[in-house]
Amino acid sequence: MNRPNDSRQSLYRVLLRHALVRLIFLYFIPLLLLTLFFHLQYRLIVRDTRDRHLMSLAEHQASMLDMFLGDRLLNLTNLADDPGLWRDPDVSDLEIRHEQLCRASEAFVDLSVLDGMGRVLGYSGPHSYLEKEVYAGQEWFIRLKTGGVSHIITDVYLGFRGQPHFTMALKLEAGGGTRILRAVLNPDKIRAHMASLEGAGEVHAAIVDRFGKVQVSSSSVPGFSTMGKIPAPGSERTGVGTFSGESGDTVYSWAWLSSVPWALVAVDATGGQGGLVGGGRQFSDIITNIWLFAALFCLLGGWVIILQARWVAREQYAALNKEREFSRQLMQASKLASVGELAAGVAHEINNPLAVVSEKAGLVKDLLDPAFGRTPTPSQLREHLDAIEKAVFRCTDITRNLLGFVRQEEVRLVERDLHVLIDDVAAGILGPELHVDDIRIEKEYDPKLGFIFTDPGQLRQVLFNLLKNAAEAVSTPGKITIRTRLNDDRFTLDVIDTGPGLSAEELEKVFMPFFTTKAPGKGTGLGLSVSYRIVKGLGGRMAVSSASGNGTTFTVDLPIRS
Amino acid sequence: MTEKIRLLIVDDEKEFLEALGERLEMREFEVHEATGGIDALAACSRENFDIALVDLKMPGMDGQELLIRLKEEDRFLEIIILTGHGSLGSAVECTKLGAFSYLPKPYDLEELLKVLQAAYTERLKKKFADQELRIQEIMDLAQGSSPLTILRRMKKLDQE
Repeated sequence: MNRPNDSRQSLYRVLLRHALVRLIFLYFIPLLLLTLFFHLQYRLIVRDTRDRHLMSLAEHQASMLDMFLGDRLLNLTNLADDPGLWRDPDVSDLEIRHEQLCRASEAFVDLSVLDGMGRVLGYSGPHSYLEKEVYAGQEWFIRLKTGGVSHIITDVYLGFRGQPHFTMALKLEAGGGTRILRAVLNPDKIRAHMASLEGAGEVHAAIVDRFGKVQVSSSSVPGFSTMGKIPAPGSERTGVGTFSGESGDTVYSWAWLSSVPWALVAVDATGGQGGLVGGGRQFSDIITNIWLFAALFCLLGGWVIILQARWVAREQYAALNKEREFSRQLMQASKLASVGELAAGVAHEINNPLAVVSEKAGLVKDLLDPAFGRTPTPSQLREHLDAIEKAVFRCTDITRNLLGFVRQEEVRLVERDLHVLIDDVAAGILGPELHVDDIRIEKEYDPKLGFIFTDPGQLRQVLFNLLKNAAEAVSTPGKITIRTRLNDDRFTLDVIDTGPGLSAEELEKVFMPFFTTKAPGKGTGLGLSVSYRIVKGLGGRMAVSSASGNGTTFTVDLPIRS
Repeated sequence: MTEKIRLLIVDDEKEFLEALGERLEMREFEVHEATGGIDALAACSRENFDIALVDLKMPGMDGQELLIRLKEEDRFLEIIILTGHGSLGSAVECTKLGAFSYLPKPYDLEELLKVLQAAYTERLKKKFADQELRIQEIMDLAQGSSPLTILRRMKKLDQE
């Protein structure tokens, strides 16, 4: 009793596993993929938004710086309006101008007037030693003098004074020759200005030249401080890029200034991926929430799926059991029906020998009856009694066959000679019927085929059904051919009749329960369907082929060892 | 000499045929045994029988077909169907086709004798009814003929 229980358990487990896999593939994985997709999309949008924000900040700051530098240039240009300054720069006059400049902007450090040869004509500022300097060889001076520009703003450099500064110079062609008005500006003031700009708190900003050398930085980010170097910004007017630092990749945006070949570079100062969108803290909260939600969802989804799978498996299991039960009942019913069908045939087969018995017994009584005046010899009487005995044995044969047909439900494998089994069925139970119907049985047995391991009871039932079916199909007189063939470890058995054959439509339904071509009440339509199930149960196949008007062939293919 | 009732028994079961035949002969019947339809028809065409006992299931020609052919051969022959088949359907069909009665095997001989008696009575009734009808016919036809002509015709009928 343990084994079927175990197999039932394992069947349930298989069903459960299938249901689980199916549900996971059907619902869970697509959902997970969808979630992942939206997560990635969201990150992309966040990054895009951050980049745009960073870029607009850089652009804004760049334009503000442009304005700042423009203002300073304007301050300087205003001074140039005074022609006295050019002809013979008076130191006190220069100092007044210098003061004016400093009032306009604290960025101005000193002011000097140079002649065309780069010699200092006048100087006002903290570094008086510079009065003796000659700037003729300096790059900015050459560019201003020879290039077609009227003013120049230099990059930040250390120069003679050994301090970061940059220069703003104006070229004027006066009557007495070329004069150059030169002012030195302190980059710290630009830094201070940058710090005061809108959005300055959100970014680390720096001004770099076209080689990426940092000119002015709003804060002291490592590798980002003044005179440090970052990768040169792209040539586009504005853009976003990344550079590798110690703490991984850093995203930066840049915007070129229009008045100088400087670019403003901005780096997110708030930290985190999307800090510019809603603050880093909030973003990481969202991510945590998403993961928490995902985990919760997985847990809940998994639970639901397991419940669902168990339900599905239970349902399938129940359905399967129901089908098995139905199949079992069908087998039973068909067996009963076959028995009913048999009973009529069997009655005939038994009644005939019984009639012999009754007549012979009557005859013996008559012979012994003095009224008839007969004097039978003992041998005469013995002859009649022998006939009675023979008839009784015929009856016994029939009842024994009948029992063999109805017996046993469980598959019991024993070794049997297939051909003897066929002969038994053909000659035994069906023999007289076939005989009176004038149906000849032709046997084409494969001599190589001998003993097989099978359930004789069940195989007998199949043979009986096939032969009976064939016998009913052929018109009398007719012929049924039984052919066996050995194929390696299997054998085939053909039952070929010379009947009218079956149509394609009938062929399709021939193994269906309750399908019959016979008149109502004549056949149950169960024999073939039951045989089909039995053959399947014995590990074989059953097929049918027919040409309308040309007989039908039923083929049973079974293993030698069922 | 008392005329014996002539019986034709048709059955493929030889033992049965012989035993039944012998018992009926012991009871003063004239019995002819046939093991198949062809035999039976041949016998019927050779001689006259009063009653035929026919088995329903036989190889070659079954009882039903034989019943029809025997009736064609001799319409006054009463036929009793014997069968081991317990179904009522075939019996009803046989009586429809003109069998006098139907007897399931195995039976009591007394029962068979009763049926035989009834069958023979029926045969005589039919025969006499038929003859009366024919006498009337001749009388009608002979209306206006001379009495001698009528007598001659009636003698001829009797000889038939």
